Amino acid sequence: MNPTRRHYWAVRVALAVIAIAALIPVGYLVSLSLRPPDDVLNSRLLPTEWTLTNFTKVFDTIALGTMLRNSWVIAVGAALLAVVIATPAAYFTARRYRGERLLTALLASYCAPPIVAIIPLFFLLRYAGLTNNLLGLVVVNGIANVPVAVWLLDGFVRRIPVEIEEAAVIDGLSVVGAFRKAVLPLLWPGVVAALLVVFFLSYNDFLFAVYLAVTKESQTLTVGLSLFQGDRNVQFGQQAAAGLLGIAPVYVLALAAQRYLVGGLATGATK
Amino acid sequence: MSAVELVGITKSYGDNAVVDDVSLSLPDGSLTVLVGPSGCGKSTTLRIVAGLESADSGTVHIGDRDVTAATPRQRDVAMVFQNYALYPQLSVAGNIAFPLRNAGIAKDVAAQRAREAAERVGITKLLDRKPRQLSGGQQQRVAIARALVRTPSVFLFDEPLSNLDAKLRVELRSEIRRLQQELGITALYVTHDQEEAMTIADQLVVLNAGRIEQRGTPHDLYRTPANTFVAGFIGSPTANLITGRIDGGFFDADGIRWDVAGPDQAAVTVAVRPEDVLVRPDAGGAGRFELVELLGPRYVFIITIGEQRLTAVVEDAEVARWARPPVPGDGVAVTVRPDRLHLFDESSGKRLPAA
Amino acid sequence: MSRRVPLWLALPAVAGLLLFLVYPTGYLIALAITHSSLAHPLRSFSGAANFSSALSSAAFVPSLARSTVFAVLATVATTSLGLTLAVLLRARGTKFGVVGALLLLPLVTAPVLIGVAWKLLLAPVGGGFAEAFWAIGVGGFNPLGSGVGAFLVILLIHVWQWTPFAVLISFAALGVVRPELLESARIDGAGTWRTFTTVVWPAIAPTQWAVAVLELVIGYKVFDLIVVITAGGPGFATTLSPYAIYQTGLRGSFDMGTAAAQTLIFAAVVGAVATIVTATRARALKAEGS
Repeated sequence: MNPTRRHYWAVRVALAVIAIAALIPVGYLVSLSLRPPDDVLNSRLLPTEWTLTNFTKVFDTIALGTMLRNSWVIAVGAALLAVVIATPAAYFTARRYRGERLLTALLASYCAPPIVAIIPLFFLLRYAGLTNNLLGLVVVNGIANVPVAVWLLDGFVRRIPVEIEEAAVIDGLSVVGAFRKAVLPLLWPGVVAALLVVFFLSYNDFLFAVYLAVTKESQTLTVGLSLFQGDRNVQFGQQAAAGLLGIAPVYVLALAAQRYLVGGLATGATK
Repeated sequence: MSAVELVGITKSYGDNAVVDDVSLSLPDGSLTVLVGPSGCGKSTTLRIVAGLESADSGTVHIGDRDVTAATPRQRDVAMVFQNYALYPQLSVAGNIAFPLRNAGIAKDVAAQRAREAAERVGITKLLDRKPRQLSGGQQQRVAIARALVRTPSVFLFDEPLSNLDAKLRVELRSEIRRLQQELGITALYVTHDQEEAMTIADQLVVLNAGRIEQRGTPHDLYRTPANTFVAGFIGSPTANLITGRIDGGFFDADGIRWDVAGPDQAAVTVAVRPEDVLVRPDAGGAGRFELVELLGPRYVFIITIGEQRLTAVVEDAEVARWARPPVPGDGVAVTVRPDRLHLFDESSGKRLPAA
Repeated sequence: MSRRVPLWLALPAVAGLLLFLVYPTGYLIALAITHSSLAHPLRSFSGAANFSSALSSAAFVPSLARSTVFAVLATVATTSLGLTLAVLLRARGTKFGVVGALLLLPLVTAPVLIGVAWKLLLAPVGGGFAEAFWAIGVGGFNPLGSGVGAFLVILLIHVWQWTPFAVLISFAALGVVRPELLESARIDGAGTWRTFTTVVWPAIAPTQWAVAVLELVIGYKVFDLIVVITAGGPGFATTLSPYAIYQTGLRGSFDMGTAAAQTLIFAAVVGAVATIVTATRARALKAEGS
């Protein structure tokens, strides 16, 4: 299809505007993180004085190192847990007669605002001694995101022709064996996509963290950032630096894995 | 109803010339078939005529209008696609009427004309159905009805029957031919099936790697192929191509010595069609039956003779007159009528002029 | 073969469902009908007391309406913007490239962080936009200072964050449209709009509805932004239900019983709205003959 020249430029301009709009908040954070405290509220988007000290000072102001560690541990743990549960479940929903009912149930549960589960979970975790505990958040985030992972992986399983498992079964494998040996190796783009999605959802989670892990030792980055707000003399520059330090590795991960994320969403959406 | 004129059409993807300087005249009211192996550029040429793709150079005229830069809508062409391209949520009637509605024709007039088009292809009973409720053949009829409802200047067919089973293909191709002749609309038809091409074409064009190998009537291409490619492409089973030399009125190749009318030639390729290979069981003959296949009313034999393997087709009626049906290993004598030998220069593949 | 897929493959996921849906619902009901606090849950039976205090609280009932308005607006904005952007991107070709990278940023950035950024951008004194506002003549513009303004700001940020999701899914859905249908429409003389309604929309309608339902649910869940930017204010202008429940149970009187009652009421509202949308979707898709 050949758009006319005017059409072509309109598209480019529109996308450029969107791109800039997408970058302003994060760009502003970068700009804030590079300012000394007096320059933070300078009414401008760009700094008038530059400094890199925020990035080092912030580790003294809050336990940023601990928070980053917590966020990463929880996110990675939750991703692994969710995918371990979701992969066999997705095979079930995709292949089993009437298996999609499970998927519907999972999605329905996901539609309920997490608020619904939070309070009971709080009491349950407190009873089990898992509040203010990384393992507790791993379990909660992992299980909470199982529906998303199943939804993604289900799409991927359906893309694999059933004949592959049938051939494996004829060759003497059990159904589960066929799943392990024939399907799983082909499923890994979906697994990667699911791992990434659950990772991002857990890393950015605030709701569970703020209810279930409030001690200094167990706080995540998101909770830590919100706590900056409470102080009288808010170090916005440091807050921005903390945020960026938290988000930069995640961005890099997202950009590097872009293909998997986009492909994963596409497969999940268009089955 | 207009004639179509293509002059110097070229289209390349990178270094690869998919269509290479193709010039073609489609006489008004005729059906021209573009045939060739996959990747020869026939579909691309068709799409350039349709306006779905633009040529890098060359012109397209429909009637006396230069449509080279025109959009498909402006060209007044109709196209039948390989996978039908029916709009799934519209009924059959809606699908057929769609082009008319786009041209601003009133709903009831369009519906009436759609009904008439449906009658022509015999699908009036299906007007209220949705495409997914129809078989492949029915869907393709709807696509054909949609194409002819506008009575366009040119009909374009892009391998319309390739997705259908063999029987349906034979049935539909003669229907398409009949409709095209009744309406007298110039048509350009692309197919990879040479048998289909032979049966319906007024003008047959063989394409290979973006270039025209030969154009003419099916009879011309069958009787006087211009080069070894056309000789090998047209006709089924494929013609026998044998390299050798002509010496003193004989064609010599390993194991073969046939009378031929032609001047001495050191390097020559000879094409002889399987139906022109005359075969007679002979225990002392120079050849041996290697494979015997019965295909309904005729036999196909693969015969080894010297270093050559020849394909021969013999009518069942004739084999019946032999002492017994041949089995692999039996001896056979092979002769060919000199006038059924097509002579080509070995290096260029081009047809050698008659002696 | 499909009947031979063993049930136990689904067991962990089902266990998760029990943990995350069945148990919480049961426990919530228990909390809601007892006197419960954060420190001492399930002390004694209270009947419908918590429900009545939930319904009579100044913050909660209006928050239901606010949440619904917010979710509906967010859904309309994200899905239509998402589709428009996806169409524009498709016009450029099917590769994602740089634009894809940019699109991912809002999605993978923690709402908390975004909230902080926007709060500072919009600060009337010293904020990032303050000088720019002066320059265009709206000096001292403080959207977060008014109820409507704050609501719209949260809405805008939420739309900013979740449109890329709609874009990605719509983009994928557009890729499924069969090219020969588009070509056939061109040859049949259909203009851009006609082609969209006849060829494109029928193919993508189911996905668009799915996106709408998802965005609706996500719109109801908004919490992080409120905590970080407005703390529910000014007044109660941005107190959406999740925040109201948070205030009841983890702040103030730590009244878990009432918070549980509120949660159940809220879940019922969300469920009702989601069912309406799903039913509308089913009817719309049926009408189009998909």
